[in-house]
Amino acid sequence: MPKYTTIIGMEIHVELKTDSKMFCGCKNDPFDSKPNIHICPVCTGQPGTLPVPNKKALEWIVKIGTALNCTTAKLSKFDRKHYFYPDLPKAYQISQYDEPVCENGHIDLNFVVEDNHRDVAHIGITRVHMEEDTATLTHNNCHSERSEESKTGPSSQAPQDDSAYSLVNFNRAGVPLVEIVSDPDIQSSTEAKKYCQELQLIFRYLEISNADMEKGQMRCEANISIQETGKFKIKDGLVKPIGDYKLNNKVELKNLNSFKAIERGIEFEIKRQTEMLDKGEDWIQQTRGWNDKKQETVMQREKETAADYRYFPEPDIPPFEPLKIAGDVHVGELPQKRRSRFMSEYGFSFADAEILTKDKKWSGFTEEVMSELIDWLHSMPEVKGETTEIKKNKKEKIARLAGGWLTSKLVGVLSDLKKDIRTLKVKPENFAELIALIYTDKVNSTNAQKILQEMVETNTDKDPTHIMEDKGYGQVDDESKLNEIVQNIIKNYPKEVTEYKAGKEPIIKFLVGMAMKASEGSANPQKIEEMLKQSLI
Amino acid sequence: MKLNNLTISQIRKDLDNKVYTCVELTKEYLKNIKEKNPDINAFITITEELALEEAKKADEIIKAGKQKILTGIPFSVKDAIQVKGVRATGAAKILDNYESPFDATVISKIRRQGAILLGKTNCDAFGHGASNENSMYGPVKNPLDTSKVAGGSSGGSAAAVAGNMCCFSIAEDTGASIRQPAAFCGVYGLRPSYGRNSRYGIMPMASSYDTVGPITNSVEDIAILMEIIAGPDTHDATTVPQDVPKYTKDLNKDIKGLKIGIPKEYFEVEGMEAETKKITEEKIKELKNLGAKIIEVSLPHTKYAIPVYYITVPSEDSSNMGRLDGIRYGSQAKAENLYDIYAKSRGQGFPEEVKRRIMIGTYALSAGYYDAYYKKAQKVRTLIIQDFEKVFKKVDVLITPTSPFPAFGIGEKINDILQMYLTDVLLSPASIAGVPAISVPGGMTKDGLPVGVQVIGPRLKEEVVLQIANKL
Repeated sequence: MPKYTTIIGMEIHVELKTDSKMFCGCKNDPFDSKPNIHICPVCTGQPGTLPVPNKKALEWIVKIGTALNCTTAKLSKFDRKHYFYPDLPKAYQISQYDEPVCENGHIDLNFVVEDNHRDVAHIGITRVHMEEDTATLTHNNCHSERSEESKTGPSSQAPQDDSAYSLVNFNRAGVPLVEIVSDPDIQSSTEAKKYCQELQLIFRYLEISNADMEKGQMRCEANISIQETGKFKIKDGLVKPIGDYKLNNKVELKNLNSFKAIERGIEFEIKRQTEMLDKGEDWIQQTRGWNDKKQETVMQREKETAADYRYFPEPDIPPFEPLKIAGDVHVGELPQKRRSRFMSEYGFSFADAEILTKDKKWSGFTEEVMSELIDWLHSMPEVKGETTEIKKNKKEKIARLAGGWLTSKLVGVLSDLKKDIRTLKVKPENFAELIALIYTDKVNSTNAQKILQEMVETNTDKDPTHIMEDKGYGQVDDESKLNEIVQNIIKNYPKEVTEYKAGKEPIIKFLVGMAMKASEGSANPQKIEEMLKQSLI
Repeated sequence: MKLNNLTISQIRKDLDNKVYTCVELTKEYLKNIKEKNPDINAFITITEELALEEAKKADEIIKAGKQKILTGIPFSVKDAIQVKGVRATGAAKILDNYESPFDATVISKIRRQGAILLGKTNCDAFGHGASNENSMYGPVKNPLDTSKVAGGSSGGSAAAVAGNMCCFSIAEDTGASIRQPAAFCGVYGLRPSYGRNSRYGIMPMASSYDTVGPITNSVEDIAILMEIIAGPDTHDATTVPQDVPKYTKDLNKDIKGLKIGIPKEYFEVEGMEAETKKITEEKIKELKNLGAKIIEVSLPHTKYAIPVYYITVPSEDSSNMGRLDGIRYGSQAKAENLYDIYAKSRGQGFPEEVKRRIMIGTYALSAGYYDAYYKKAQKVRTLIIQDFEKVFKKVDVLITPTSPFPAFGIGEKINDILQMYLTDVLLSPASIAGVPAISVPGGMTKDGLPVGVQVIGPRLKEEVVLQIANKL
């Protein structure tokens, strides 16, 4: 058993892509290039304005909670969270304190043995609550480049001149924001990364956010502590010491702006804390930031006591009933379920299923390809049996072929051509046809790759059989062309020809092979054999 | 023309009968404002140009016979209420240069009916006060005795109506701010049920208390205005969906058999003056003579009203004041760095009382004190609400004095904060419970100061409150 155990809890913020902001009618478009155009008296905090909750956002948060197996509260309320900062126009954020919309959920993450120390990680979801986003700040100090403002004030030391200023953009102020807090159930950087990826995927499947980390639509923070194995227990989402063991303080890790940063930041922190423990050192509760350039975590501030946000119930918004507002909640098939269905229904491997469900568009495309493929195969004389039989008996073979062509060939061609599934013009039907051509040996792999390249490149929907015929990638049936090849083979292999004529019939297979090679694989082997036999009578 | 406490219905009749034009009327009010305001100090901003322009239009509308109920009626608005394009200081210097970017919902409703804005009235800054002495634009003097306060916080509105400087005023009542100045100035003022009128555009003091209502020269005027301004608002999630009754309809209905509760605790408060008590009791007798049943009742938690009020209100207040930082709008002090800009803008822009309430509220909400103060006060608030719920199972309305004493002298209580807070003793319970209450003039003391009588009704029963008030 390892000496130390890593305890991680994640806090994830996700911006919802509702049409309007959380508490006013302004357009929800924080990435508009023009600053301060989606603003009104409400989201700039003019005196006398009042918040009116966005119904859609409340519906969507219930969806998130449902997708994460949470219990949705019968009655919920908003609270004011006070802190004074230039990005917060009312000097408080409307958030939720003790009655979040959703609570007590969980999500199971699956791993292959090589990637993680356990194959299933059961992660509890403490709560899912609704709040509003802040404005965005841009700092220009004359002596430093654009920077994040320090908490002691941006310009207390910086000389004031015309080039030193801070700008506030309220386009993002009041954008609906959902916070998801996990229990401290995450045990490795791999699990933390996977947890965030899975949540991103769920947000995208639910179509409630683009959850793009680079744009800040999804923001992740980790609370990390290393404890001695066996000296603590986790109960009701809280880490409790056993006996007189004194828990090591947690470190809040911020500035994790990519999945890679989550993984590396946590790894760094695990190593740092482990080394400190080995040296017999301890630390006080603190917030650290991941520095991507230096690839290390940097102390931001030490927390002797928790910040006093002076929460109290938001008097401007009466308590509300989330279940009534949300009505019938349909979350559809979530990525986890789709992944396992892809494995059982189509026979995809774990790895292929994972890749194919990583994007809702991809999984949709795959699903259509698979259904079209069976139809194609059924229509081909080479494939015997009814669709259900084909589906059942050839499942593994079809899945292997289709999986490979989707996850490596199509992905490769798309990336070569700097395209993605959203701009792909190839219809699933035609992609399926290509797979069917390969399956039935009508085209070989090399030529199929060329056809795929052309299908993707042309930006119009072309069927692969046409390309194959136009470019002569297919197996050649033309007698005069084949005859030329056959005559050449007879001329070039006199020894084998003599042997055949002497009655050593199996040698015909060698001659067919040579002919196929000469045709670069495009000849029809049956036809060649027939013609050889005819010529050698 | 004589501006003899003209009511809406009187002016309506006169304008429609061409006794005078709206321009003449508006000029007369403006003339009176110019004459009296330098002394009374009821207005912070006078919108003369706008008023005359609107008056001209109103005359044309009347000429064309297309007038609505308020067409051409000159009114004023408490300066803590937003009127688009007009300066709104809230009586604090931090908003000295602030121009409203939007109309409060009640104001747009009134303006749609054609009323003419004469100006914005003085008040205690952001409604913090009971004497109008906490205005950074100076105190308002009582038009009936200029050595006395006009009451607060809506002192300017009450003085403007009492002093013939407008026909009616739209004001705001958090604890006592409409009723107490109305009583001190001898006019009518209604605090409606919480949620009956939209708060959108009312500078917040305590969001779970704030209400907006009229100060007028008659009960009927209040009924007329309530029919216009009451009702749900998509901009205010705390407004109630219930239909707005026709308040003017039942004003003259017989009150025979109605049960009137006399809460004994209200007559026993410290500082209750004999004259005030006597005038109120005379009024109760009159109602008895009209056939109402008089029943003594008890509201046992009344004595906790002031403590509850002065914990919960500053708590919300401290939260609401945070946005006033001199950055996005309002007056910004010149300073070396951002922190000093905040500190100086607020230091100069807030009067003492605002600072005091921010301190009290911040303290009451702080970790470690929240449970002992805010949470406990909320629990007692529930008990006070239950007091009213119970008593209104027995009686239709309650009658009490509005204030234990008539208008006091300017400067008399300003240095005794507790005495000042205690002036709301008879008014804050209804505010805590969110029930409607009106103050109507009950009579005069021998010194010539008006005494107000308060009628309190059950939630959303303004029509009953107005019906009884109309008999007083």
